Amino acid sequence: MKKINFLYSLAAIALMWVVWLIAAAAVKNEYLIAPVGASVKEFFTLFENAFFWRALLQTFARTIVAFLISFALALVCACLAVAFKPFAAFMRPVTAFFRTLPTMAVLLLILVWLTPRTAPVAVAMLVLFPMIYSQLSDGIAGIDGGLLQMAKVYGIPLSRRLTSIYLPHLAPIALEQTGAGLSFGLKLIISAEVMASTRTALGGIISEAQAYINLPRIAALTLVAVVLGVLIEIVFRVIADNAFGWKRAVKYD
Amino acid sequence: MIKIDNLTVKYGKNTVYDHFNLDIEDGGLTCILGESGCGKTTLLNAVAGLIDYGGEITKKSVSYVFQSPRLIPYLSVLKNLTVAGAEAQSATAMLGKVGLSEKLSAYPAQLSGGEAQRVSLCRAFLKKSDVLLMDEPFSSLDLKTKLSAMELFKSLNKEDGRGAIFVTHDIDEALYLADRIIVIGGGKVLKDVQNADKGEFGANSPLREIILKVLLNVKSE
Repeated sequence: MKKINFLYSLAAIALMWVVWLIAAAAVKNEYLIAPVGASVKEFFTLFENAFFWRALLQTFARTIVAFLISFALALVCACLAVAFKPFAAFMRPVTAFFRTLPTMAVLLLILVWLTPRTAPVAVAMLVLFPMIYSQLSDGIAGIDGGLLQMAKVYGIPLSRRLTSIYLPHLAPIALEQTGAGLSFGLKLIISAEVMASTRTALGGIISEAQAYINLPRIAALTLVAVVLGVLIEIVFRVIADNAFGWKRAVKYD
Repeated sequence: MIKIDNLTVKYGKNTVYDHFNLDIEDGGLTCILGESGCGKTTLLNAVAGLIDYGGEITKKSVSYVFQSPRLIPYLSVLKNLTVAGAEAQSATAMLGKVGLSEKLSAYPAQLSGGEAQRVSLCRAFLKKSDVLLMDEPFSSLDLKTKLSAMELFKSLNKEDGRGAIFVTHDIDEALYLADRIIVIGGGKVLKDVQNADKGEFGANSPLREIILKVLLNVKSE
């Protein structure tokens, strides 16, 4: 069953390539649709460029910083929200506000106070924080109440409850969140870098390519972002599935 | 002795117990028998200090066998026992007594229902406490597994010597295990049978008829 599903996924990817090929062949205008061949060639050429690697690393660093700060804040807020109902009520309009902010418009405002290097980080945090907060608070609230009752009856101290119940329950959620958050965060950071014309950044290179209407380059950079995002999600999903003895035991039983 | 004085428990507008009184002597097996939803688990949880209540209940240290095993899914069987305070050696020995020596490093998801409930029994017996509380511990088991689990419990309890209070809706379980059977319904004691004659599981007896009549009366009200 797994093999068949994998084949369906491959078929979907193949279909997307075929649609691109057909569209490019039909339009025959590289200023409207990037030719597939030229884009793929440009994709591999990018990796030969030292500046591209610096830009990629800096974009990735911004993504990590944005994610880590969002995660840390979200974790603290989620713990407080589960422990204190008034705090949860306080957070509801706050997260709703952040969720509904028009991100790119906010970026333009943020650029007044921050630089093109740091503004994308701030924008990504505004989007990631409510997302991660919501997942973590649902995760913490979803801990089996029966287990907590058992812990109370058997006098299991708080430190052991944290290490035996809370952390193992949250760890897989946190790992999957990390994969999804980094992947989504990367997309946000690149978009913000394009708008802010950040130098030494993937978004900055895209912005420059756009100025010269270099569609194969834009397509190649987009492919880089997609491949990176997918790889990040896969890596963290594999880690989440295999890092925990109890999960492995159930999987291979 | 566990003295329950003027116990009052309300869930919203629903009053489960209203100035309920009951004394349970130390030692022996006391069964609280009643229909589903009559407040048996509520009574047990009040004794265990797990719910808020009005009135007074003698404070006792308790071990608790829940209706579902409530094993921590992220820990192995052995660690489930040691995290609750048992020494590894004692836990290993206890698991051996219940036939689970080979499951020390298994995770709860790898156990059958009967095996998981046996681990839960081990956890309860390993904890030093004044009384053992059991909430329908055999209800989720099939008949064969239930019979073997009850036999196991009887042998562990005989060796341990601690008093136990267990709740059930199953008359046969009550008659098979209990020294004293307290039938409750509507927040009241309907019948209190001291020195119940323990017979064969499922066998007909005059006491069985009496208790059945009490329960059927409650049902038809």
